[in-house]
Amino acid sequence: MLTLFEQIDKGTLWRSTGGIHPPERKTLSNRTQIKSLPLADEYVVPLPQVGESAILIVKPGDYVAKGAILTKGTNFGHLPAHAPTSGHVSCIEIRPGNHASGLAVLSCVISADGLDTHDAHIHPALSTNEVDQLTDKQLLTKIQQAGIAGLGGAAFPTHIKLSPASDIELIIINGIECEPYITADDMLMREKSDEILNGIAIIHRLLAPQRLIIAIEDNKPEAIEEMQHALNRSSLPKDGVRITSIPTLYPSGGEKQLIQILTGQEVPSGAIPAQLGIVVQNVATAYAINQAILRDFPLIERVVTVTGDNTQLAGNYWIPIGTPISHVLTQTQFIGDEHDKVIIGGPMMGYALHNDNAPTLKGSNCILLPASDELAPEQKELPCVRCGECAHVCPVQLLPQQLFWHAQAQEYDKATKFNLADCIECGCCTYVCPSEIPLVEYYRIAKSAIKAEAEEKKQAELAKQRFDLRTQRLEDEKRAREEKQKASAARRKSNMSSSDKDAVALAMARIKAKKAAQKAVATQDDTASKITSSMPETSVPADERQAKIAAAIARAKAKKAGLKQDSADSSTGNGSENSGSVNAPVDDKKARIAATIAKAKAKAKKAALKISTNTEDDKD
Amino acid sequence: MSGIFIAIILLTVLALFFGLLLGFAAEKFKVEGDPLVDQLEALLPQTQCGQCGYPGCRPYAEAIANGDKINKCPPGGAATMEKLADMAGVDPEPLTATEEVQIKKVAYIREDECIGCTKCIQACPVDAILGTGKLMHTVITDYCTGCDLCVEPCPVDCIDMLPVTQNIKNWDWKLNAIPVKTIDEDVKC
Repeated sequence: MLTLFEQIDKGTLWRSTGGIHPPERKTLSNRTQIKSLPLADEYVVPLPQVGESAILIVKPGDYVAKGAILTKGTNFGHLPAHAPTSGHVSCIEIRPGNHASGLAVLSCVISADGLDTHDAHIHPALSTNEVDQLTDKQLLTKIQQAGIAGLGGAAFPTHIKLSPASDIELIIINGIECEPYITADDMLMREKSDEILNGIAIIHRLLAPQRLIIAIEDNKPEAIEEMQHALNRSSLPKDGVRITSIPTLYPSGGEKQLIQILTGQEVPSGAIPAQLGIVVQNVATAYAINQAILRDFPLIERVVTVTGDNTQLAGNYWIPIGTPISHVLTQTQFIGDEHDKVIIGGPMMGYALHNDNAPTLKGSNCILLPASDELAPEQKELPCVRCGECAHVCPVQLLPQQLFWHAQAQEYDKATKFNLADCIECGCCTYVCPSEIPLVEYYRIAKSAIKAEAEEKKQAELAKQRFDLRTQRLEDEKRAREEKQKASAARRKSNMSSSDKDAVALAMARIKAKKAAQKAVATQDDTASKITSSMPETSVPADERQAKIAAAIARAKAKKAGLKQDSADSSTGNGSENSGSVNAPVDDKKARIAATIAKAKAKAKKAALKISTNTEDDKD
Repeated sequence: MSGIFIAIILLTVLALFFGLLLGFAAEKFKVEGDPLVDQLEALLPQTQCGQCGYPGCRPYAEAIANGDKINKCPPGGAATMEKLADMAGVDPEPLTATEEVQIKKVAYIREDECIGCTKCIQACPVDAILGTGKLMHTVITDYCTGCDLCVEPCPVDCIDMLPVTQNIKNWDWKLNAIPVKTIDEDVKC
């Protein structure tokens, strides 16, 4: 039994599941060399991290040189933005974004001065010796400062990927580029193979793996040849580093799919390749790393394939990041009208752009300009016939028809059970669907709904925590206040002199005597009223006193209830009650009625009362 | 004949024994609290807004467990009501509050108008307002549940409830259903 590494050395490939063979149409753009476009008048650099974990360090009117840093952040995931050319910052504002939503994002607009002056920190290439002397930490800092993100499309910060928590045994350099039309990586490998290999050597040094595979699809023979020559010239160890050509199949270039083809291992659901000891990097990222380490040249331009029947100059271009797509369209002689689609990315996974003024991003590898008859026209969606074609081609072995069923019925919990989260949105199922159902669209909607629900749940949990903490705090404060009052009362008592005590005792005695006298009068009156038994309500002092107490309690309650209620109403009520209790017997009945009304009100507003007592306590 | 009696006695003794055992176990391993309340509370949106007539979501969950209506939670909307009905085992009922479009809103204080009275701070159930006496207050929008409770106490009416803006992080693919075309404005920089 051969070990995995021995099998890799032999060039063994494993079968991946699913996949399709769409028309490649790569020859449109890979016949010419990579060219550059004239400078645009202005560049729009999106600032996604500003306002959260980063701050801007330029202001409108500032001069920036090509490659100058625009943002500063302190957290580990921060990727600085750079000026793609020299010029002045004309404004920092919300501009149309290059995103499927078409939503505008905060961007830094730079009006080019046409000189393209390099920033001072960009220097001539270092020699190999000088690079060897740099520490790993210095290398990673350089990569981070150059703003390098994965150029395969996901744009994940590279310095994080290059400093994994676990040991890495295998590095895969992804030169697959399986999506139709796109040839950016192909052309880069043909023209800049030595630089790419240099970048790979730096990755190799940082991660020190046992094996390194450069994987290229077999429809790029020129690229494979160039890379093989460059590998022979490079300083990389000859054993343990190989170039593997793999059969053309969409979507072999997906990270998890490629790992499966090259190692036979499946990345578990929800896990990342690093947990298997594998890191996958794109060839263009390796090139960018080379530029960053050798010259401190930040990631401010990339190769973009501009292709499709709607452009007369299809090919690959070095396009500065932040170039308005409208500029690219005019420079490459776009012949479509405004109804023709501009697709960012390939035909399988790309999205139509809403606004041509949006800029290119680090992850934009292709601008596809299809003529109206070039791609399959949008057809009416027919009912699912459960043919199972989609399940056949799904590279992740999901059941697209079931996912569709649940996504359509908005049964997102069931869709989750069918592992919707593992869908890579490759579009194979949509491609083969005989009913023309835009399956991926359904999955995207379901995914965002699930994400929103999870977010809401998190928010609710947070709100509950804060509410509980607040309730606890209010109770604690109340208790502390009561204790303080008790303590101060006790202190007052103990501090009283004996003469004070005597005075208090005397006063108490006087009150007692007075009460006794009143009681005597009351009983007299009571008997009198019993005898006469006429008009018992109006002139009964004992009842009257009780009524007074009741009215007072009612007043207090009404006042509390009134806090939440129509305050004017209850205050007039209070006023009448006051006058009623002063000249007691006449208004006694009135007071009672008011009291009952107040009681009823208080009862009805029980909940409100609780809240308002809380607030009252606060005020106290 | 005696065999039948023996069987009856034996079974009676066994029944008594197991009855006692079960009774003892029920007392000994009693589950404290009502898990139904916890489950109901988990469904509520935790805005702590008090629109149901109870001071917070937990008391309302307790009230539902004790038989109160399930349709008193306007922030949760019809979806929450249905889930509550499902959990409590009652029929769904239309919401008591007029069903406004359920757009998530958060409070914003117009800071130059704020007089620093602290009334909104006392009203906020989740401590999402920052400020102190006679100094400007502001809302920590990430913590705001949109419960509306701070709007009324404000003596100068400087609190607005504004819908949460869409951005790239919280946008929904459903937007695609509406053909959106961003209109270009000719704004001079």
